Amino acid sequence: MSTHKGTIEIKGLTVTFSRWRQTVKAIEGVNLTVPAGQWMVVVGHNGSGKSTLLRAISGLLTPNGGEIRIDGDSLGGLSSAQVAERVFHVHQDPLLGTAPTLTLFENLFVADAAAQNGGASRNDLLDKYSDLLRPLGLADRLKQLARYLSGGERQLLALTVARLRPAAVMLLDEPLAALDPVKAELCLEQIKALNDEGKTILQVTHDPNLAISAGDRTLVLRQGRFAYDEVGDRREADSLRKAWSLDAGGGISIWKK
Amino acid sequence: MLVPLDIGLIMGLLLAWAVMALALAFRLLDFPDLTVEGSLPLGAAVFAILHKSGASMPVAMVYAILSGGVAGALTGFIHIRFKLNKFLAGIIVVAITYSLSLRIMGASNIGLLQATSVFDFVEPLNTAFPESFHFGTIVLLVAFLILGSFLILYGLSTRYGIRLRVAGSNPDYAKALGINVPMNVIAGLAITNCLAAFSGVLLSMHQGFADISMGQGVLILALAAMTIGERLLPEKHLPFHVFVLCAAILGSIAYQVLVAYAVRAGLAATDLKLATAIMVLLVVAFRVSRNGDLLAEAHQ
Repeated sequence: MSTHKGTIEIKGLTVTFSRWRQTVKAIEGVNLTVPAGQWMVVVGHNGSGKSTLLRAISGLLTPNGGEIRIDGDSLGGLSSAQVAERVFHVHQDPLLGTAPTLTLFENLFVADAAAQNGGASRNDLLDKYSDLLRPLGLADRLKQLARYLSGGERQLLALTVARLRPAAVMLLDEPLAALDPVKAELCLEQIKALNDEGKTILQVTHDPNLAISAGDRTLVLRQGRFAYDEVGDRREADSLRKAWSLDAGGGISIWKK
Repeated sequence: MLVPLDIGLIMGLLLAWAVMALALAFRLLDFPDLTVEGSLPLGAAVFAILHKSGASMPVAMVYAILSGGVAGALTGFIHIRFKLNKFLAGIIVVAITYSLSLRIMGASNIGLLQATSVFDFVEPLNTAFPESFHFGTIVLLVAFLILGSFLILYGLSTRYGIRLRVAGSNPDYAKALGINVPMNVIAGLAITNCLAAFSGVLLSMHQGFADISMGQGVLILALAAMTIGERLLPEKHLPFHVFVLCAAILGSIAYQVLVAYAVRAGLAATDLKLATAIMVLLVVAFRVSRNGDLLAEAHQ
């Protein structure tokens, strides 16, 4: 697994949705460069274009304008199998991120490109997957069907799947949204582990508190445009709040003291 | 008393292939595949005409099975290429295969009584038992099913089989992993309809003729058999694909034995479909009350 891969370059990205005669611009001429290995958190309101941005980068929708490059190659020129080798998308809905009628083992094996190319024995793989799942409390459930996991457990499984993917870019669409605080903490640890392995992380969230505490860089997306972009310690609550809440419901405090 | 058991067992074992075809497509690919109703008589037709016109039995069987595969692949292709509803794609292919089977046979049925069949080999075993019990036939059909199930289950446990099951279980997830979902659906339907065509081949050999109306009612009986089988088998203790396959075979046998005894007890053959439909509804209703989660939504 190479650590230098995983650069995202976006130039003039525009995505519009047309329904009847109305055209809605979900993303409006956005430019963005994410260096390899960076953990970036994108925060914004519902409908600000966060999920659309991720869907465009993972090739699930074709942009109306602009260009997305992964490691220098234009996304439009890659086959969907090639895109899957570079980008992995963890869905917002934990039910979408795993195959319910397959066992946990099979869910992990099918994502594990290295294992599928042969070599490792079934027992080796069982050990490897048990080690990955142990901190999450799922190690003894490898032979169960994924549908017997709770929503939170399935999200943890989806993030474990991400750790087996060869892709250097991880797109995480609100991975913590449906989780209790303990599961959310475990999920954050999984994301940190991914980042420590050299993966580029693009994590989308509703939660401005999380946006400022997690990752290396925070971006506010508002009405399809970037309203805030700061790195590391330079991120601070006041300026983020300004960028984030100009059009928010007035006076409702969602900030931790 | 043994006659209905004999008839039921043999019919159940013959049609288990068609039930497997429906159940595997429905459960593993999330594709309620109506094509089965067309690929079964197509398989019988292709086998009958080839064997009748001089092709050896194994060769005729291979072509017949492949013809079912083509029908299944066509259904998948129509669904994916034209984004047509799964049911409509199946209905279109059933219509195509009906005319095609008639064209191939040149008549609405072909007799095969003089032709060789796989059942010739076990005739000595049959005659060794009382006339009302075809032990040899049953042993042969069970052997076929064991061999077939073993091959299918092995295939589904390889990495290609796992990819196929992921594509059916969660297409979004499969896409994120770089699995070609449309190709897997088409390949999966081709394979399941090969099974249905094999059912047609075995039926035509056993009955001594191939008939255009052979497929009629296969869907409802396969649905009934699948439903019953899934009720009889404990779901939690088996891998899902093993459960689906075993439930199909078990259900097919249970359903046909039940029908054989019901007909013996005086159920008119004309009422059979109504009785089957009511039975499916009763089983489904009973399942809901037991808090089973299987039939209503395969995916949650």
